[in-house]
Amino acid sequence: MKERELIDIIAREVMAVLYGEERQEEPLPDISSGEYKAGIKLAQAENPLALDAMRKKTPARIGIGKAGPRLNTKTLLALRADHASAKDAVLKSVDESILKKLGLFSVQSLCQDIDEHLTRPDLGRQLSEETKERLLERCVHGPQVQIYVSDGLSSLAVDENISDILPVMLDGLKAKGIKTGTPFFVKYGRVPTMDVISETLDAEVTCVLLGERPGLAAAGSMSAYIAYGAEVGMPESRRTVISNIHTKGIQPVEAGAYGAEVITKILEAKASGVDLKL
Amino acid sequence: MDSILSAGIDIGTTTLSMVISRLSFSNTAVSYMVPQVDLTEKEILYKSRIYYTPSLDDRHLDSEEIKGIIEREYRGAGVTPDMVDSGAVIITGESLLKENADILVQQLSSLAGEFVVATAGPDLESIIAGKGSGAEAYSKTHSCAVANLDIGGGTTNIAVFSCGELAAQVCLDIGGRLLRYDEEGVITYVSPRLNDLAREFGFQITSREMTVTPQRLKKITDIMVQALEQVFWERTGPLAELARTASSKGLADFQRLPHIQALSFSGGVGDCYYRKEDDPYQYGDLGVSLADSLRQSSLTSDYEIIEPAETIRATVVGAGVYATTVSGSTIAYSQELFPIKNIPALLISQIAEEDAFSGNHEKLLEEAAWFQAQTGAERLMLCMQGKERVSYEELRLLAKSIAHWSGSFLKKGEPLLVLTTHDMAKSLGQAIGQELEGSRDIVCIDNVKVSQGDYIDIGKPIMKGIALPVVVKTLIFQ
Repeated sequence: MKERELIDIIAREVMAVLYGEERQEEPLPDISSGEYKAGIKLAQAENPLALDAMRKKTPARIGIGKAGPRLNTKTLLALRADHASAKDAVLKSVDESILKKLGLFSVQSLCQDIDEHLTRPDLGRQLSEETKERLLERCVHGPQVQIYVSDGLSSLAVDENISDILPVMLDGLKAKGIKTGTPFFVKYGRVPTMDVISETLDAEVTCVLLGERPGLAAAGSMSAYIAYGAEVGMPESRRTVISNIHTKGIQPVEAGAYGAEVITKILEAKASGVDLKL
Repeated sequence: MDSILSAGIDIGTTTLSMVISRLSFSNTAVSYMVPQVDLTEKEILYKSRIYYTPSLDDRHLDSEEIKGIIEREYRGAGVTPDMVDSGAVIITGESLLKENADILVQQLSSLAGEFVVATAGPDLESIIAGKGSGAEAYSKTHSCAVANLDIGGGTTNIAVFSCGELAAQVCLDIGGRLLRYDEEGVITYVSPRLNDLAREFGFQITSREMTVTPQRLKKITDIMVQALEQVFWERTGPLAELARTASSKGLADFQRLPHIQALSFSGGVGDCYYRKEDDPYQYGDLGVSLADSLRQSSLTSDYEIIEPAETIRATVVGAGVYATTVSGSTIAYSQELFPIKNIPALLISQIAEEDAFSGNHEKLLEEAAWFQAQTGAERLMLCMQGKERVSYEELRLLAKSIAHWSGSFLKKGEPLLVLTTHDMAKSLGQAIGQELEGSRDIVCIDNVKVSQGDYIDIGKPIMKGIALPVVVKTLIFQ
């Protein structure tokens, strides 16, 4: 929210310089908002009822009209706004205060900065020896389930979802008498980072709550990747995934309760991914 | 269990029929997403023939004969009651007003299968007939708004669907058998509801004294059609209001409807509409004349008229195929308590819900106590909106409120039943479970639409237990 206020202040300042003081009173439309996008609609639809029904079923930009061969100005602005949100979600860092509140300590993959994280997925999958030692020092060894959090490609997803999904998931597992390890945060992590973490901490099941590469529909989408006996070099098909955890997908608390159930089934079946029949 | 057998039984003013169908469920979500169990296939396995509704006299249905018919038809279908998992017994129109209607429905409900429910209520029937006729499906495939008029012996059930979504429903006391006469044309029965309409035009009909002529029949049925026209042209009107069935919600939703492109007719009179009977006296009632008046009305010249897939069987097909819905696929229940039947829905107010979200359960208690005093219900289902986005703190507070409420309101050993509109039942159920620590069974489901006054039946779990079949119904015998 703080960022949002800051952006509003900057926008007002710029508008004041461009248009003078009198324009300041008029509130600016939020071009990334649902209301703004709902207003972008084909004016003379043959069957407006059908168009509305179709638009309700998808976040894709359909029935938006056009100007000659090009997009309308409003469509273009909304697209740029969504693209900007997507870029922000990738480039920003996770809010430290959220991690602190949840009591998560941080470690980092082999990537040194965001550019390296984006260009060297191979380094994002690895941890240094010092980091492994740090994990061994601070975490429970050999847990039934090791849950941890990682930014992946959307720090926004962590900011928006983690406070709600993580405690529900831990509660759910605790209620079933399942012993969970010490949760923590991995900066510049990739999905397969969970494999080296699983090996380091000797976890039976490993689950990473990770920010997904943003699209133009949802910048703050999280997934839970879960694997039984995860090990470096294992095929991707051994991972079970719960995707689309965000407000317009499945809300984080519900995903947390569902995730706890999936993990329970994985422990019972001693299998995950395509080997697990849910 | 990925498919269930469903029975539909319709006891109308004039006719009685039954269908058996198979409902199949599957997970329609892709593998990497949270499951989404939907009712994906509806196959009608057996249709009974259409019987005249047997009655002993003007005030009593012949319940022995009706039970006999149902038993025979079950045998004919090769189905025993224990095979049937869901469905509905619907009793409509004038049959509903018979003195022994409630006892009959209860008897049939146990005769037809453990989970077959007695459903009645005019607005719900409008929806069921609209779906059963195929009007809902037509509006979806053709992306338009369609109104189905299910015109039977006692009532006209109207439902409007826009692109596959229900938009409005109403029920009017307009039907083919509001007036009956013998072979000499002497009137043997007239419904007081028909005389209510006639009074507006300065005449009254008396049985045993008056005889019918085609012109007289036409005069009456033209008035009936005028009431129907008011529903569509003015979306309200004095005749439409006068004809409205007492327990129907009314025409409020019609004011907000989009433009309706097409009409379809079902029910016995709907059937006459498409078959074009020539002899107005054929059934000794108003049916043929009413269909004729409809054909000459401005409704049929100004709207596109479509012939639905089912006409006379629309309600029974609707009862057998469309009465069952499926809960959300992330739900919580502490053990298999199912089937659970006839649970009244308590829709809590927005204020009580907000309070509950902040940890205060006083208003929940108040509203539940009031509900119990009003309905005399022993059990109830706590129904709330929930939120599209709930924080962990809110979830814990809500769970605490509900747990406290259950402690002071529910008897020991009574299961706690909760329903939310938004998808949050699994996490809420888990959080309530933490509060109760196993002291009480919990059922927490979502994705089911209920209104005040509805009753809920929950069947045995399907799809390896991830979802529950649910029937929402209106029990009007209290």
